[in-house]
Amino acid sequence: MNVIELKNISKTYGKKTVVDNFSLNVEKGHICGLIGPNGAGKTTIMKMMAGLAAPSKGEMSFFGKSDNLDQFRNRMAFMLEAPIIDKSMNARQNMEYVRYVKGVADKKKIDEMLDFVGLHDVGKKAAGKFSLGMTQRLGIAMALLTEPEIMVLDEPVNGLDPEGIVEIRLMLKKLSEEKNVTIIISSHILSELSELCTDFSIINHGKQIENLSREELMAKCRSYYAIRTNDINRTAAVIEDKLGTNQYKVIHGDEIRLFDHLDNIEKVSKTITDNGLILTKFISEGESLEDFYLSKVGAEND
Amino acid sequence: MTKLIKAEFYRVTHSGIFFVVFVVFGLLPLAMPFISLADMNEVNMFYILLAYAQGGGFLISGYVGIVLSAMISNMFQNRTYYYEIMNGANTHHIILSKIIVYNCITAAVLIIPAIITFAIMGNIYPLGDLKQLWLTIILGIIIILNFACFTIFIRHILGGPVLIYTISMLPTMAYMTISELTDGYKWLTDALSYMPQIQIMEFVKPEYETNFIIKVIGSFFVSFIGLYALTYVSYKKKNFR
Repeated sequence: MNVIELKNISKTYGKKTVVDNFSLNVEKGHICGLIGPNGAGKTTIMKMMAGLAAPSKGEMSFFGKSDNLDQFRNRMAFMLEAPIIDKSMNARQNMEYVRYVKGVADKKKIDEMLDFVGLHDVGKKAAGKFSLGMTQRLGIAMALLTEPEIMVLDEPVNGLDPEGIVEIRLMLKKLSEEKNVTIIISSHILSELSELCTDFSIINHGKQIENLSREELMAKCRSYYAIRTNDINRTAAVIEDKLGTNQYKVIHGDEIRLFDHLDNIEKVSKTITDNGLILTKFISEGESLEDFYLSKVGAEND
Repeated sequence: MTKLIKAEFYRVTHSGIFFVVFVVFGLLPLAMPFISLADMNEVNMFYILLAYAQGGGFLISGYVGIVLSAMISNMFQNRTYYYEIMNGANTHHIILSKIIVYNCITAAVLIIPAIITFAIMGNIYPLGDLKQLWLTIILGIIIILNFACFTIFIRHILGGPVLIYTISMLPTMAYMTISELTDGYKWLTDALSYMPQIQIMEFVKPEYETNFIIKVIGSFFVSFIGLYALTYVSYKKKNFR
């Protein structure tokens, strides 16, 4: 079931079109990555979902309904641009404010969430004095307070150190797996989201470039060993018999692309040569995620 | 809307020093009757209220204009009101919750302490015409709430505290200057007298004409309805909804 559907939505400010005919379907429990360079229109799309901007054209629906979307927004949580916090209040007070706005009855959730994001020991320090990482964590804690069914996060790992990025990634994965939370997350770095997301939507200059699943992305960015030998047919047989895999393709009858055993180059080469074959080419090839992303976005930019 | 009222009240009372400043300095106008009447022999409640209006009214203009506006500005600068929109709150509820919270704070800081002070003074000094006294107090409350609403609406529509202070104080300055001049500018002073900033300094009178009472109550309703409509449109436009 699609919990979010955007159909050909556009947003125009004056004569400038910021989002142009963008469509997206997100299934329940999926994590959708909205990927695009800065200024691509990612935040505007999220603002339209949050009700902070109205689409100039197109239709949005949440949980299968397109009428009176405001009534569904309390089942969703948004973290747009920088986290929205009152800088003069401390972490707990900011959480308390959101608790009142959202009408969360259980006060204990505040401690639980602060603990969850590692901010339980910041005491009375004003949020304005927080580091960027702490601010991001507080923003996520505030978004999680209501146990939303859908989370919309705009570059939540922006400014975090590598350790922090991994922590947030694991946290979101856990939320999706354990609580079936649907997540839409934006970033301008594809590799940052490649391990997290189940679906991807690439956008540039407000236009949709491509929507694809993780499997489709991985297939497009698949690495392989390009192998040539003196006998390509016997090499294929050796790969199947001795390496026990059929994850390969014969290209133009003279080259094999092996997609398996990529972490064991020694074993592959030794197996082939031990079976009396002579290697004439053996290299690792393939398009990286960044190459793929740049080929999509770069082509648009050119 | 109860959720929004609770949330805004929590934010205001826990956010920065504005609330403390508002409470501390908001009580200052009450000192004016004591300062002005210290050397007077014959004092009754009429003179006490007159001293409060003439001296304290000017301070109230400043505090409502600056500090109340600063408290609301904090909400815009931190974008905390986005949470209300993102939670699907109705725009009317968002605006009305602010009106209710800030008017309650204004009442708690400026009106209730004043009434308690006047009640105590009423036990010490002669009350004078009781009907006139009640009317004066009721008109004073309407004017102060009108001024608070005016500030809240204008802050929603326009920019920061400095601009609001200018808007608050400019009519007062203009009125004080022009009223000293010739009758040729009477139309201007008449026009300015519809503004709460002016009414707050002029509302204590030995006797009220019906016109004045209508002017105070009428300007409250006209300004509330007019500015509410403008605020609603501005809110929708600002948030591109």
